[in-house]
Parts: sequence; structure tokens; C-alpha cells
Amino acid sequence: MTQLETSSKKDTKTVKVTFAVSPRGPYTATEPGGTTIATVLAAAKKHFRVVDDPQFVYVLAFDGQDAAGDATLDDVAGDARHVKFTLVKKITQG
Amino acid sequence: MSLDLESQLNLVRDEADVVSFLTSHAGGIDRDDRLGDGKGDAAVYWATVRPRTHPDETYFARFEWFTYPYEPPSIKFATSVRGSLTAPTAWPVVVGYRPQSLDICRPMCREGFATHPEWNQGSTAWPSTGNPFLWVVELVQYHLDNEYESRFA
Repeated sequence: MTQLETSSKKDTKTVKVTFAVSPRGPYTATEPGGTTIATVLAAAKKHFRVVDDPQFVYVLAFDGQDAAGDATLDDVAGDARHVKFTLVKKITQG
Repeated sequence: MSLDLESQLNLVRDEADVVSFLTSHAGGIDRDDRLGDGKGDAAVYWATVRPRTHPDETYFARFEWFTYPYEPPSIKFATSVRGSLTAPTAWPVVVGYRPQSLDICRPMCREGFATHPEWNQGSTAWPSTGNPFLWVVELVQYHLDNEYESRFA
């Protein structure tokens, strides 16, 4: 990969996180491509004023799939400039 | 069943986002009284959903609302749109989904809250803000996309 291609991939991305039951609008931010999913998740949870508890955790889903916390925006979305996540309340009782 | 006017209007307001979401996931949704002869139930919606890893497996989830957005829907899987609701083979194998009981035991539907009344309190209570219709449909799709094992045999 050329230096230009590497630089391009690490450019900032616009991030949008939606949470259907929040009375607040979506979380939006501009982040470097090397930003981890865990960082985006923490900021989104703060925006939506939600916290994990013993019965469930909040995760980010990208294109329907769980996004790993240690992955970066570049890992998840490649060269895409705009990245959309859904905040999921992962409930474990059954 | 007869749904109060406020609930009907609230569902009409929120269903557009549900349609958009399911369409983007190779699925769809229809309100029962808009099918065929138009004599169906405005409180019932039929969603067609598919697991990300098994796109050839089609599931038909029936959502029945009693008051919206204040109470959770009943969620059942059917053999087809307006099909049988008593076939375990219509159900996906997902943790918390109980094909042999024909219910979902999670704090996201009427059946789950009936089995565990304690879920009506605190952080597991049914959310009535934003778009709960979209939320619960997103949750079903998320389970299919991330926790699906197979069709119940």
C-alpha cells in the first residue's frame, strides 16, 4: 500500500450511532479512522445516557454484526467515509 | 383485536422506519388489515426476516400490539404470513427463543414479561420512548444476525 493510500485510509470518518428508543437524536461525531469501537461505544453510551448493568450490556452493531471493541473504524468500515452503527441492548436472560 | 386510535396513529407514525430497516435487511413488513381483502387486524404486523448467515431461511414474525407504545407486543413465529402460529419448526433456534413453548423468554415481548413480571421494573422494563416498534424489530433481526443457530427441527 502506498503512503497516499495509507494516509487516505486513516482519514477521519463521520460516525453516526442510532438507538431507537432514545428520546435523544443520534450520536454523531468525526473521528480518525484509527479510533477504536470501544471509544465510539463509550461516547455513544454517554450521549444516550445508558450504562451496562448485571443483566445486559450495550454493544455496537455495524451492518447487523457485533463490532468488536478492539477493532478500529478502519477495520470495520474500510475506506468508507461515513459509518453508521446501531446501539444494541444485549439482554441475556432467557 | 380492536386497537385504540392513539395506538393506531402512533404505529403509523413509527412503522415507516421499521419498513426501511427491514427492507435494508432483505426483509419486509405488512400490516394485517392491508393484506388481501383488507379485512384483517390493524393491531397485527407480519415481518419477514432472514438471518445474515442463512439468507435462504425465511422466518415470519407476527407482532400483535395491545397499546402502543406503552406495552410490549406479543411476538410469535408463523409458518407464513397469516400462517399457523403453533408450529415449532417456524421458529429459529436463538437463546431465549422457546419454539416448544411458542414464545420468546426475553424482556422484549408480552410473553417474556408475563413469564418474568420482575422485568417490568428497572432497566429491563419495556421502553416507551423513541420508536419502540423499530427497537424490538431491530432486536429480533440482531438476534438472527448474531445468535442464530438453525431452524428448530
